[in-house]
Amino acid sequence: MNVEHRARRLLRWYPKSWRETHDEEFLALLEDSMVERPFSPNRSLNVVMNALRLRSVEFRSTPRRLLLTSSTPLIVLVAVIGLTTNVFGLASSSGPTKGGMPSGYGPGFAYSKIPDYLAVSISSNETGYTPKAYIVSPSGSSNNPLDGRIAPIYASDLTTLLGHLYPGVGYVRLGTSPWSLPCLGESTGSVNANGIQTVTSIPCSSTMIVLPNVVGVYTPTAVGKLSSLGVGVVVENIHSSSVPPGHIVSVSPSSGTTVYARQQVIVENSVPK
Amino acid sequence: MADELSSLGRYTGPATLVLSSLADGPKHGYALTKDIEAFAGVHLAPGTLYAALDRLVEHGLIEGLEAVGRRRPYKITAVGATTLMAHLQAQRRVTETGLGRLAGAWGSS
Repeated sequence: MNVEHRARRLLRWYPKSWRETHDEEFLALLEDSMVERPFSPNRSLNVVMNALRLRSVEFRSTPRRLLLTSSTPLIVLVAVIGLTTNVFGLASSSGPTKGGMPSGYGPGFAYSKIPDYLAVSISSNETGYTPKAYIVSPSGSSNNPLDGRIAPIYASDLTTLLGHLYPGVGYVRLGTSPWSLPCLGESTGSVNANGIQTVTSIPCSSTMIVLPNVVGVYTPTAVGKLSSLGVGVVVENIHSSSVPPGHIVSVSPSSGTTVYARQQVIVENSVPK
Repeated sequence: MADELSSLGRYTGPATLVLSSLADGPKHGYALTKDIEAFAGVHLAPGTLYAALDRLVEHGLIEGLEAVGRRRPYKITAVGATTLMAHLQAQRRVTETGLGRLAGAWGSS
């Protein structure tokens, strides 16, 4: 896939109104950036999350009457559900679980019980996912109404998303990159926020990992599985007539390949034509 | 001591970098990224850069110029320059105070 095509695919995450005023200049920036650094999971995620934030702003400011009749194909909605107790009660501590946006948490709340991703539906025939985010202000004081909550990342500070590609990592402060987290087995760090302590560590980059076969697996499950092993996962959408929507079409490098922890793995998620 | 840039909350950092970069002349997105990397050692990802640019335009601190080919340069406005100056001076007071106290209490040279 060439640079121009990849840049256009990323641009499509932005709302139409934004694309109309920014498309060429933003594409040029993406392409320049891709030429310099062909693959960067942080860049893709950064673009997607900024785009989703704009969509969520647009969604919230659009009257409901318009939404119902809107022909805008991409309306990002938090699809599922789940009041806090149910979600947490059902969530397993390993692997991702579908969940909604809990409204908060109590003291002693087990982070591992929080779903690893939040399902979002993008129009009626496309579903996606977003990693969970535990929102903590960097300075300890913030006007962010989401502070201290678990939320889809697009609803939170943009920089939080860097810390949340890795289910099982725990939460990190705004702006903390997962790459800066201590290595598993070497040293561990703990973050304390509102009385909750979580050890944060991910496998060291010297750790070798054999990629499991996730072709045909439900995308969020596959992403959770790969990222809990410690690789960086980038999801790209592709049309497929043979693999059902929301499932993995292919993985690069392919299953069975040995990679280093924290290395980028691209999975292609099937979306309808 | 809240100035207009500080009121941008989480965008204050990127916005300050962008304004500082534009202080010596207009630049387009990629040139901004490279310049900021060079003088601040910070890589602004495309989404973050444009979120900051959008806000700065909204506040009248920068303006988009006619696109050159596909790339649109941005230029700092007079208001932007004044705002950046006020913000950096406030930051300088913080920096100097912090460094001074560190030197006094911790004996760093």
